[in-house]
Amino acid sequence: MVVSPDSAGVPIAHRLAVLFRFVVGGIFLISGLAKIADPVRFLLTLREFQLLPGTLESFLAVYLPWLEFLLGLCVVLGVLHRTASLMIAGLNGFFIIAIGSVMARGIVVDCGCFGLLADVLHLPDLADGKAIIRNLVLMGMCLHAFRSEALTWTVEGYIARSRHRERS
Amino acid sequence: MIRKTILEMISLLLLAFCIAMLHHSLSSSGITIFKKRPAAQPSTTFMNGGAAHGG
Repeated sequence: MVVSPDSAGVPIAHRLAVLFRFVVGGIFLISGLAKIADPVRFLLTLREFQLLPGTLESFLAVYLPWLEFLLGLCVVLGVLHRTASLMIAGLNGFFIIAIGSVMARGIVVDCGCFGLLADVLHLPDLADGKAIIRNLVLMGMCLHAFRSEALTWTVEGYIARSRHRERS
Repeated sequence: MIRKTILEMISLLLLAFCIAMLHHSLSSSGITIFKKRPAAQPSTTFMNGGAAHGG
């Protein structure tokens, strides 16, 4: 069901989807920025995972923070937000596999989720069960935002409204 | 619908790749977006000057 941007009675599911969009997008936006600010720290964290070959680790240390930042921005602004939500859910799945692999091998490392911010704001940054649950919750929120077709508080909705006004 | 989603995914991945490579090449050239605060270190100029004058 496509919800018109002008509809007054927005279902609770769609309101939740908007809330989830801002929460998940905001988290990815900020954590992406924190990693962009300190890529060396993120590279060292990736190396501690002992999951990928060295060249791929270096590439991901440069690429992944920008991908997180871009996806977070898309979700918050509401530009290709459904696709971005799906991609964030995929990234969360990738993080869950990585953390699960580290836990299975008995390696104690930082998950590197919040990069520089973990030290500044004393955020939980250990790759453990809590990190997996956190990622699962974020994944659920993303999938809910993906399923919802509400255009409330989105740039796409704003453009649709403008076009509608021009036609009428 | 699926085709549109896949195309949007590829676009976002490529855009992120371009921005990351641009940022990386700018950083390699010495142009930084986020300037790091230099760590507090004793002034070597002062130390050298002190040694020169004191000796």
